[in-house]
Amino acid sequence: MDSPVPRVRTESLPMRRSWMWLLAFLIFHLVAISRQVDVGGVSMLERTLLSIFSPVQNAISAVAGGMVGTWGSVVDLHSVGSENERLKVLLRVAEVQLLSQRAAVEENARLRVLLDLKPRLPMATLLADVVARNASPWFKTISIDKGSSHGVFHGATVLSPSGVLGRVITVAPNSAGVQLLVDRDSGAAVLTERGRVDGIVSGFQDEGDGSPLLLMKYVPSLAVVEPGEVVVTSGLDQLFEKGLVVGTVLRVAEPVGLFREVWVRPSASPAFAEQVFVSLAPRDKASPPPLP
Amino acid sequence: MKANLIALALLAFALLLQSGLSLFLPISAYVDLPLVVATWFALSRGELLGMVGGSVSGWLSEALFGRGISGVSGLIRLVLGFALGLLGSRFLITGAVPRFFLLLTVTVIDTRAFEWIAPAFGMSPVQYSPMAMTIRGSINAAVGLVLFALFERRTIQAT
Repeated sequence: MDSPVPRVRTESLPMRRSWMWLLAFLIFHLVAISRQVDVGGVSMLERTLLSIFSPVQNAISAVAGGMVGTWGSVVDLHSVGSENERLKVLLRVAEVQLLSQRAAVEENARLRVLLDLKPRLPMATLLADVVARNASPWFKTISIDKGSSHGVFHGATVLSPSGVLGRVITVAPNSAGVQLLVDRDSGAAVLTERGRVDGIVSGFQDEGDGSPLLLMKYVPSLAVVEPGEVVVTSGLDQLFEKGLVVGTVLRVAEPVGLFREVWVRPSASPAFAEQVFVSLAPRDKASPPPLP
Repeated sequence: MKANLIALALLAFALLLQSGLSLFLPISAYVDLPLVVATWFALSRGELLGMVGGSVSGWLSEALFGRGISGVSGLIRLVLGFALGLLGSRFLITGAVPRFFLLLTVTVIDTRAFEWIAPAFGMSPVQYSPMAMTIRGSINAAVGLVLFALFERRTIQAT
């Protein structure tokens, strides 16, 4: 009769070796993680991996974009004639509107001088392509194709045409990682445009349809906030310029104690942003203090 | 050795494919291609390479798309890779139903473990409700079944 003993003996040695490997790997991981806890900033590993992967991500983005563009061109050929005529009419209308708006801008500038108002310097920005979106399910981040060699710096504001999108958190020479405003660990000091009610927004996921929202906290319970109000950055956090559009108030919760919570729908949709603007110079360099 | 290098390259490719597809579809909430590849790697190559594959997939995902501390996902997938490697070296998991439930379980454990451990390192990851978790796990398992069949066919052709 065969005994099961040899089978157990042959497996025991590799098994023990496997457990030793597991222990070694665990210790390596714990050391690698704990080293980051005190260091802060971008680790060498992250910077190296970003530098290695960003050219490949750029290539994938370019190829995918080219394929979508080619397919779109083929589909669009069908309706191009009638659309051309329609666009010509729209162009003439737009030209007339542009003329009147130019006049309005010039008038605005003249009035500013007359009123001795300091013109708000536009933030110097750089256009960047989104080359990758968060492949990790837990965080809301994107990668862009511009990095420190283009003037992008850690903490730079990232905007889409419709509002604030997020902030640069990792910078490599030719790419950067952006933490979106809808990420749960993000935060921005904001105020409502009409009521001037202060608060802090951070990422929040709608429990219903799972869409990314912003939760505005520390809103005084006596403050009046109406659904539909525009929410802008207040600049108090020294992270974002003042007056950038963040979103619109979706619903207002009943007060609990001193505060109430307000749900804000972000104006910039991170899901399908393809190109973004990145602020170039830090705040203190963009607007130097006046000379005595 | 060559097969192991190919498998590691496949992990990097899965991550790039996932980030590329995410440009057009919000798939990251439902599908985790690096996890699927790491699971296949562990089941077919044993616990040692399962640990390496799981760890690499976690580190790559976090280093490229995470923020704050990197390595938590790598740590979780290291243990998962080890467990799956042990499982794969003792049982032949070939049926569609066992594979589906295995992938579903792996996805749920990976996600829930990260949600549980990450706050200890000052991170607040997305929290999935039980319903969202079930949907995510099921879709990932379904995608994994297709990929497993492809990998299996490729392995048979190669041998």
